[in-house]
Amino acid sequence: MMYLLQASSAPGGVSLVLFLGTLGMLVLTIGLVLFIIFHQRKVIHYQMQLQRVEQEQQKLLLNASIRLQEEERQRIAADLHDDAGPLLATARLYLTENLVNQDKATQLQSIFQARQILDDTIQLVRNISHSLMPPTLKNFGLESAINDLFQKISGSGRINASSRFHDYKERLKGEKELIIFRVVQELVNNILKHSNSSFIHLTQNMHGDNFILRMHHDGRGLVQSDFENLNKSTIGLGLKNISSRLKVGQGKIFFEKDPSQTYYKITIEVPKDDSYE
Amino acid sequence: MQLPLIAYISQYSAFLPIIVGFVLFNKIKDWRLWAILFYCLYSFINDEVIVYRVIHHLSYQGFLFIFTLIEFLTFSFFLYSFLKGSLSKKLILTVSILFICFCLYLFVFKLRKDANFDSVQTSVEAIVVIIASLIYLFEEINKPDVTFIYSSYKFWVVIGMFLYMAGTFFLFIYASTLSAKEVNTYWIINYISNILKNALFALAIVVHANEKPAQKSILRNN
Repeated sequence: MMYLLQASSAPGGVSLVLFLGTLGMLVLTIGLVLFIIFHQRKVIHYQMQLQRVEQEQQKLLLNASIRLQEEERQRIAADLHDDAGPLLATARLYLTENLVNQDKATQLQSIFQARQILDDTIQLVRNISHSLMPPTLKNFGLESAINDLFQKISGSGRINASSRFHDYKERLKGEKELIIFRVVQELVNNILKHSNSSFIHLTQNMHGDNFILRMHHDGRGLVQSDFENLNKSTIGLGLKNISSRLKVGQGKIFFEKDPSQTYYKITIEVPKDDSYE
Repeated sequence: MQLPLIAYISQYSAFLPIIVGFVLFNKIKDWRLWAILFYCLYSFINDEVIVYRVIHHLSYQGFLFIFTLIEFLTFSFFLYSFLKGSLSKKLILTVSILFICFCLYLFVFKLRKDANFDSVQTSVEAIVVIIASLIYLFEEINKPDVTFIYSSYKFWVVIGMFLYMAGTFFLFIYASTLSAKEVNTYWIINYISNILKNALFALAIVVHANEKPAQKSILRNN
């Protein structure tokens, strides 16, 4: 700067300052414009990459949900075909036209057998229907359905399962209750299959407008990074199913290890926007 | 008085955005672009008048003063309408009012009939326009909805003004102290900057004409 001031007072100094100043300003301007353009291109490129990753994850979730739906359909089809089908065919055998030509005792025996088989079929259909929509959940709500599920698990004697609802005065919307119930079912299923834990404990609370469920278990478990990695990979269909269900219910799930490093903790957070209709 | 060829190219380059504007007449939906065309036309007429008055040894300082004021008002109006932050808008409004007062003060009390250039006004104008342009560019790179900055006509208008002001900044500071010979030597900087500015304004009109309808409606809402 001093050099420039001295130069401007010397003969021919003005031209030097003018030349250097103008050149400097032009270089600065062009540099700035180029910086902005390249910076923006970089930001856009990064955002597009993020969008692509998100789209891929969405695709994975969608595929998982379609596969799960297909598996469910196949299971129902198999139940109907393998169980209900033969039962009804057997009942039909007992009730042939020849029955009228037979003696009364045989007729009664056949009718009794057919009735037994039809009762079994009714029970089977009921079981299929219950697996689609648990009646306890529909009629008595999430608390009863989860307590029921945990009692059944505990009743097996293999694992100690308990649940406690602290703040559940008002039922959630039907679809939301089903989403939460299915997520809990999936988590319990995973714990039973993979964790080798001795207990599962579930607690429910409200935090503002959020419905919170916390599950603890003492076996092998997942932390959030494991969950996210499995969600991005092609394996872990059940976890993807949890993610897609919670996405529908605008919920969140967090997997963490207890600070004491003894338990694994899973927190489900779902906004309570509407009550049960 | 014989002017170099580049001086004529610079003066007539003002017609470049005007011609482009008339060719794409139907596609110009943003009325702010008409202000650019008006500014270009006015700058051409002003140059003609000044050259005429210089040749006939008439005073031209008043024309320089009015031109600087109108140029500043046009540029600051653009930047004001392009800026989004309320603080930067208030800042440019306040500075514009102060600048007008400052110019009027210089015109009434300090105008020298023998001065060959209004260095003080143009230098202050350049500083204000450069700072406001930088604020605009800063706002653009911080925008959450990222679209290619060069796909907006505003960017090219601002770059046109910015390049012109940055290029002529030092020349205008020294202009009043330069001899006639030096002016002839260095005024080429102004000619080149002016040609670039007009070319960028013409490019801005082309970019605007090619903007998608959705983009145009967003611009109109701004």
